[in-house]
Amino acid sequence: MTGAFGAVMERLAAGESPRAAARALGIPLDLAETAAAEGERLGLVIRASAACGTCTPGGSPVCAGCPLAR
Amino acid sequence: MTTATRAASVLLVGNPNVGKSTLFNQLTGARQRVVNAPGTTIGLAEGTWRAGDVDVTLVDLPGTYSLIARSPDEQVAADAVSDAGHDLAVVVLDATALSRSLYVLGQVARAGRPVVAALTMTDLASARGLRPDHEALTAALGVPVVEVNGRTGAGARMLAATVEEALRTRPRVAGIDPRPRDHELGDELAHAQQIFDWIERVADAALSPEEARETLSDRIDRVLLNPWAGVPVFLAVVWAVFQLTTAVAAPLMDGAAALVDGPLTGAATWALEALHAPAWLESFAIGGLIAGVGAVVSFIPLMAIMFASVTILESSGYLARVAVVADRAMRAIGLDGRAMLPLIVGFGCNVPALSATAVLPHARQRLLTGLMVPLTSCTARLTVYLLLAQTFFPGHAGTVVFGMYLVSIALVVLFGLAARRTALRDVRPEPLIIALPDYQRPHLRTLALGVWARVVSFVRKAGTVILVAVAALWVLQAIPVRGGHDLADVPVQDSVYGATATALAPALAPMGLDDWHIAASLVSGVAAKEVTVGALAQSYALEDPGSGSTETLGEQVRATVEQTSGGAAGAAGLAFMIFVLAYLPCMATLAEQRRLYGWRWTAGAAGAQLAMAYALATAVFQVGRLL
Repeated sequence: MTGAFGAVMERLAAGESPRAAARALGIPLDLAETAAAEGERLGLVIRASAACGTCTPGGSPVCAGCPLAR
Repeated sequence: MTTATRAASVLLVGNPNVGKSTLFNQLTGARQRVVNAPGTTIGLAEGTWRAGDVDVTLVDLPGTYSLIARSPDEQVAADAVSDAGHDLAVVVLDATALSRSLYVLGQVARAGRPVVAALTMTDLASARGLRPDHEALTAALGVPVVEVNGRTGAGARMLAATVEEALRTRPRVAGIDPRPRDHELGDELAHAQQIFDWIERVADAALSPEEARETLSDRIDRVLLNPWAGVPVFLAVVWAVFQLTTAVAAPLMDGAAALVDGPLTGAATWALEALHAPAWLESFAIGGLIAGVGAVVSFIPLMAIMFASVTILESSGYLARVAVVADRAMRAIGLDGRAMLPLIVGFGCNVPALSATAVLPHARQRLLTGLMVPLTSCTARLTVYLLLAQTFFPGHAGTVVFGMYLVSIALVVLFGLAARRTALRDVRPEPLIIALPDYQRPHLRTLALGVWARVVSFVRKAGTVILVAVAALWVLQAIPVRGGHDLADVPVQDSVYGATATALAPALAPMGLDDWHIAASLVSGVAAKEVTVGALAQSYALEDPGSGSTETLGEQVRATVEQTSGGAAGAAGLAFMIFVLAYLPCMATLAEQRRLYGWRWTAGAAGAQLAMAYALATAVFQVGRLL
């Protein structure tokens, strides 16, 4: 990956938040956030809550205790 | 002199909440109607607007952040933009988040539509020091940019004149090559990269550099995501959670257990005797239901504290950091970092964790992760650890339970490494790329709702799955196989349940656990891990129903294990916990694994797990009793 998008992806892969990536790269915060969101649409980025939706506490008993269920 | 009137179709495109619909209402007034988008039931607002000499049909598209659609609404917007039947797109740009708006503008331009930009929120942007330079923005985009205010109508006339002109001149965005829409990932990625490079150039030209300030989140992350500090901090946090949980919950659990064993059992006994209920019914209700379900329900205070702790960690944003820290550790040993999210879910419940492997893109990665999931210690196993830790290590229960989670993590890693070096050699690790949220203070109401939802779910499970399992166990305990007893009037040792457990118990001797109560609870635990404690309680309650014993379940288990271990009860207790952690997944997990990976992988992994658990628990007891 190249350019601004690739640079944001590299920063996220290194464990930085979009805010920290924007600061480090000197780009607007909403540009870094948009890159993260588009990376998610393209299947490159996982949101912290990506596993949510596989279960819902109210809907399925087996989800009791799931630390990521909302 | 009159001029000929022309007609045109213009799309209004933009992000959600940028004032697009307000602008649409301002431009079209009452001349609106709602139509279904072609081939869908999604309603689109369509209105007529006079732009100079042109009668414009203005279509207000659903707000979207991207034309790579993820919802039916976004798909409607994407389809409309690529439809050559529309003459022009007015793209609404939010001056307070220009880059985000420019991304959609770039995609519209790539689709080949002529464009006019309408700049909104300029007053807010000015207040925040983010206002773009209008001239520079117009020059960088190469298309007209009109400042508008949908609420006041400011700029509406200028927009009309500009659109009229643009319908003739068909302005194209500078720096973006129009390309037909395609759906190949490689192409979409290349297009995204090109558009982001273009946005960076436009933003450089039109925006003042933002002051890069370090936030509190950044400062906290410097410590928590540090490769050397991150793991120790995480372990300390988890240890503190277990210390808090066991210390605070112990008296509450004792109170709940006393309530079940005392007043509840007493009242049920009195009621059944008053109704002259038959002996089998009394046995079922007191020794079966109340003993079995009550033992599990007494864990509710503990679960509530545990859920509250986890919810705080989750809603604060810390849990996402754990995934990042763990990802680095996983990659260091050649495992896929993206497996972390399903594995974290597995510490709640293994079944949804298997579903969560869907976040992994390749089938072999999903298989490897799905085989590792049953070794993550689910919440149901926590009830067993707590009973045993408080029984055998009363002063250090929290630390022992914490240790069980470390063993779980170690087993996951070892199993993963073994699989990567044998049957799944072809799986290539890839990094986890995660969008970390800023840290947040947990919201009290959200916290309360989250804890409530999870406790209700736990109770519902106790009231259904466990109830059914306990009833099934009671039936097995009521069928005699030796001693010439009558149905439902049989010492539990002479029942199908007791005889089977007695036959299996010697296999547990190398772990110091040669006892039918324990063997029965382990077999029952395969149905659902929550049943393990209930089955233990039920076995002891039915063994001597008339004794009026005041011993707690823990004391009864301790007395049994003292005998079976030859005095090394601590080592045997630890072996018991290790075996419960690793021996076999519950039925629901096995069924889900079979559905996802087939019988061969499921049976092979379960067999490997059982052998590993047996060897490990035996080693723990044999070494432990020498210490």
